[in-house]
Amino acid sequence: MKQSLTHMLRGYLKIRMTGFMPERFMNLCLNHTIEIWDLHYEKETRSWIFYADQSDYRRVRPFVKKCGVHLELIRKAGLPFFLNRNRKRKLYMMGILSFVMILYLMTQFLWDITLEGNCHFSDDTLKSFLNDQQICYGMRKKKIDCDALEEQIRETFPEILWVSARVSGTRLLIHIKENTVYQRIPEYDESPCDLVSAVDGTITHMIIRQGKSQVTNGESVVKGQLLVSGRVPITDDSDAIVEEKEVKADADIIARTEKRILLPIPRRVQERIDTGQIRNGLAVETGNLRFVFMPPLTEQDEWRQVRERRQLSLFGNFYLPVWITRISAAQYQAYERTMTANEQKALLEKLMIELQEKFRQKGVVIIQNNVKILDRKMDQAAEFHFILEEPAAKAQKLTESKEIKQPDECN
Amino acid sequence: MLEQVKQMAVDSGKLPKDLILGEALLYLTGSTEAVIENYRSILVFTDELLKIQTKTMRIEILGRSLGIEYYNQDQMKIIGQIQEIKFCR
Repeated sequence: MKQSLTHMLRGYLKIRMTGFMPERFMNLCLNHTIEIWDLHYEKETRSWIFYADQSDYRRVRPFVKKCGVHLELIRKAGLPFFLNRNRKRKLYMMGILSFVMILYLMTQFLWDITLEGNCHFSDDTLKSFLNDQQICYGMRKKKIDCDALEEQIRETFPEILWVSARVSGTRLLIHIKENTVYQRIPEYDESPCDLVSAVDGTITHMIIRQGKSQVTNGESVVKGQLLVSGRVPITDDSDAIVEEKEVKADADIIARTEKRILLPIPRRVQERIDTGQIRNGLAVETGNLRFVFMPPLTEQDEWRQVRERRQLSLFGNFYLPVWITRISAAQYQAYERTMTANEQKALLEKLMIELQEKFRQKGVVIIQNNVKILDRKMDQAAEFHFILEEPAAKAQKLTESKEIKQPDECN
Repeated sequence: MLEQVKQMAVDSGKLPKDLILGEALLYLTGSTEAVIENYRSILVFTDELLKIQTKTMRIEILGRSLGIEYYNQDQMKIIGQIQEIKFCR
């Protein structure tokens, strides 16, 4: 590849050789380091065809007489010959020259930012940070100070352990390594509080670590009812309260609850059938300009469009501010039909699985579940009925303290 | 005498023959490509026969539509349908 490019730039010749001692000519070229390639014998003309650099053609002249061969130029190719051929076509040359100039100018700006290795910080967060640092698409590459940028990223996001920024072609490549271990131990709120019920249900399980229990196992509770008090009374020998100590109530309380969820179920579904008519097109975008090359889609018909957008790149990391969108449109006809019993069953199963997964994520245990379909006037609805065991306690500020009756002093 | 010493050194020391004795190296890729190293000159070249002189022998490559993709001081790449290779001392 590299060699053929060099040949193109230098200019090369296709030569036909006839004569008495062609092998001697080849050996002389070899000994004088004259490059010859694609050498082959042509039976019909009893000649040898080969390629050589135009600069080497003058060097082989002395060998021609020595070997008794005759050289005939068949073709001249490469950049010098192309320029020479087209020297009078001024506009053509100007067009090529301006294309090269525009291409060169384009490569002086940043046209793509690639982030790799970020997991905790999203691309949007980091790109908005880069925007704040005046690093954006279309800026000059020279203005980017990669070392300073790395330092700024590390300072702003302490969770990022290591960052590498480099400009390659027209692309800014940022590699990030995040810290997956907690840097700070989370601080727990130790202020005194009560635990109240977050649900309506029956207590099935209780472990009190701190505080005074206000309910017992098997007791029914309502939402907001005090479960564990953060005021622990201190009594004397006669069981009289002498003091109340305020603590942060801490307990695991599980309550059995009942939950009914009503979800609408459509009676009819929309079906789409492809007519088989497909139209493909291309859209080219640069700046605010957009050119679409596609046969028009009829408005009375319905079309499903798939668009695939990608940025144009010359090679490797040389991206240009041009986006090409490949559009593929398929015509379809939509109609509505009644949902079959099997489809309804599948839909209910799907909804049930989704709800069960939601409960499991919250740490809720499902004891019993069932579903029934309710026929309403306008539509249908599925009623999901669950019996669950779920954490019931939630923290709440301490309730106002009652006045402690001081025991009568005995004389 | 020197050649015998070299031969002994190669045999006893298991040294590469191409470096010490200047033996030709021939690499084949299927029957369509061959690369020869340590050659001296081209003796005959047609589309059916390519005769190459090396330091110790002549190599004859017979085939159809033979051609030389490139050749330089180090190696030569031959393309075409290779049917036979002969080594003549």
